[in-house]
Amino acid sequence: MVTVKLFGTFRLDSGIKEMSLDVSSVKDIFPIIMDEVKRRDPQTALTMKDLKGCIVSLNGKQVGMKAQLQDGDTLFLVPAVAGG
Amino acid sequence: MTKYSGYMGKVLMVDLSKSLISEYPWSDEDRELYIGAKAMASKIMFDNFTGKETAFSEDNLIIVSTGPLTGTGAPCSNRFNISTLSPLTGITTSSNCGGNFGYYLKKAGIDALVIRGKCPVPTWIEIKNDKFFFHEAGDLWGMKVSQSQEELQRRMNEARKCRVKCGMLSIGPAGENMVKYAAVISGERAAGRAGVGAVFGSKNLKAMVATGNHEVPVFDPEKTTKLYQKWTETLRKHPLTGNQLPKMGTAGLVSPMQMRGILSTRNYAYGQYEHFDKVSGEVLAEDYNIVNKGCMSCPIKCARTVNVEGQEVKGPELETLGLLGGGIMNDNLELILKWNYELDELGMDTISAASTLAWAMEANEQGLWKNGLSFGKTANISKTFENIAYRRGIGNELAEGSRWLSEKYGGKDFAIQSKGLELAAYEPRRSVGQGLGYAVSNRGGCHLNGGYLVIVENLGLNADPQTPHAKADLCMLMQDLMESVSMTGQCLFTSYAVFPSFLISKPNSVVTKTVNKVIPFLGPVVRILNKFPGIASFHLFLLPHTKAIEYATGMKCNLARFIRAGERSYNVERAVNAKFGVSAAMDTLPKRLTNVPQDPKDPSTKVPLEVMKKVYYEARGWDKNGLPTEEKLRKMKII
Ligand code: SF4
Repeated sequence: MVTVKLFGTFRLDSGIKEMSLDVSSVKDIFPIIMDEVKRRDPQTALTMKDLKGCIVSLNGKQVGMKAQLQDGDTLFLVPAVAGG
Repeated sequence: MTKYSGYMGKVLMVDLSKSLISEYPWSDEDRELYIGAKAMASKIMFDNFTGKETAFSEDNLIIVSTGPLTGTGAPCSNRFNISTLSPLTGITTSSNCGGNFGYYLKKAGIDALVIRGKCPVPTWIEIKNDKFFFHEAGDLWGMKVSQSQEELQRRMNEARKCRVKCGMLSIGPAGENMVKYAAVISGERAAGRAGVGAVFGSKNLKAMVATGNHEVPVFDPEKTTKLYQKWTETLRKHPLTGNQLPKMGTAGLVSPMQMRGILSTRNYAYGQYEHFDKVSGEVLAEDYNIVNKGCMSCPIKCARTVNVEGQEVKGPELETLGLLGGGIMNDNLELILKWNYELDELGMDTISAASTLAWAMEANEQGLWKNGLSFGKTANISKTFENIAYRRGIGNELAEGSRWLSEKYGGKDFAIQSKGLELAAYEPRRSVGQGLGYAVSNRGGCHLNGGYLVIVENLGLNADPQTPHAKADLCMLMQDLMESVSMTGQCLFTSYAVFPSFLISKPNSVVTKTVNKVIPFLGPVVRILNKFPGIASFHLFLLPHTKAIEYATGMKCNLARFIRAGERSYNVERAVNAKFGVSAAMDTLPKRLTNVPQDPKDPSTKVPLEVMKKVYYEARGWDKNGLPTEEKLRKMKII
């Protein structure tokens, strides 16, 4: 199992903080998360584009869509937006 | 008097020693060159300081200044600036504040105050339609900030037998006791950095209240209103100013900073904090934020409101979360909310307070100074802040800041400051352009005055954060642009919309990735723009500030003039600092950031400061010693 933790406005808007997923590649997580978003709120304004607007970080290092995952990995999905 | 709208046409000299008010000469040519707010304050300091003044000497000036857009209804425009000689750094500082004082100063018919001398006894000043009343403040002295402001409001109401609309600012006990990083607070917003509150305290000036019924004149009301409406819409639609900042405030940066390895941790030993998700903007928004608040006239509203001990108070900004979280190895968000409130009430800068504390924890750990403070130990922190404000016990020394302490006890390599000012929460070893900015910044280790390149390197855009290429030229451009935005009286966040939305919301797209790849090769192009801003004699849709100046004041403006004014502002500030001994030798960072890689296996994860500094001085047209030449000052019409 892989733990996926969400951050940023996507997390606030979807209400999803964390999911445990049985996946082997980063790209596989997106449709599953979107299904969960829609299950929670069928009227959601969130889209796959919003989700893919996140930086993906695997065990503390930024990775691309094709990165392979192993049992016990933790993925962070963080939006790139800024300003402080 | 002035021919330009947007201004009240009055800059006043306030002599505290004699309770005397006089006009300070400020011409329309000055307005054209320096626009307002921080830039005008720097020029006034340049014209008045000889280099012999010290922060607490009577001949130090406090300049409280507004911009021409303040009070005209422009988005995020009711900010004001306080400039003075800093007791923490010994050089100039400017602190920008979103409180209500600036707006009401203009309602009182005044653009700026140049304050000198020292009140013979503790005093608060009431300004009503450019009339000044000096009141004794012996009974306010000792009051914390909100109590002091509530009492002042009560007195104003009582005198006029109604609720008086007024703007105010006040210091707390930290300012009275001249803590070197004491703040001035206006409403709930702070002019926080580099000890402006201590200078108020040294002058026995507890508070100021402004009220009046002047209207700020606008040159072309129709065009101005239309522009402001469109501008507000743009800000509301942009992913940064319309979504991220309103929903999460600056606190929303904790998580992206963690991902990018730039979240100051354990006094900047590391760039990632294991428990960041317990002190993040997400948790703040989900579990603690009651309502979004903002400075006056702001459609973004990035401020948080939280509950501390049954009261609704201002929530922490990113810098406070970072430095009082991972910075001192504390994962308890509720404690940060409480400390943030306590520091505001005592009237103290949260950044310098937290960073000085982190230095003291490490000094204790290394046996340099036995002080009872340790990373992760939180029980004695509230008490320590109070001790700093009242200068009791170790608090008396902590009140001097980390540079002073490291000079006394050793540990300079890990005193995370530049020119005496503690850095904000962005760890620059994985954002080397931000590192350059911290080092060359005129007010010392300031993320904003340094150009905020972290937004290009890590947050927002993602241009190679380890390469020095193009960083010096970009740093200069960003510094100058931020100077220009500041001098209008507006919040720097209004300039974020300069980054096209798609670059922010689609970081993984081919276009964004290409832009990120290309940026490090843009140095020569940026250099041309920096050198010949005349080529940008037009308005840029993404920067409506230039049109706003034209429509609101009637003064000619375009991107070229705007950038030039920012450059002039940066140069005049540097020229003031030169009088107080600043040169290249003071543009430094602690060795932890320049000599020790953040990742021991990756030697590129440190700040290659000297390489970038050299290019930066060339870009600025300064001499090898990092100073503007006489010729440069003449060319910029500063002398
Ligand atoms: S964006 Fe935030 S700091 Fe800027 S004016 Fe608005 S509330 Fe104030």
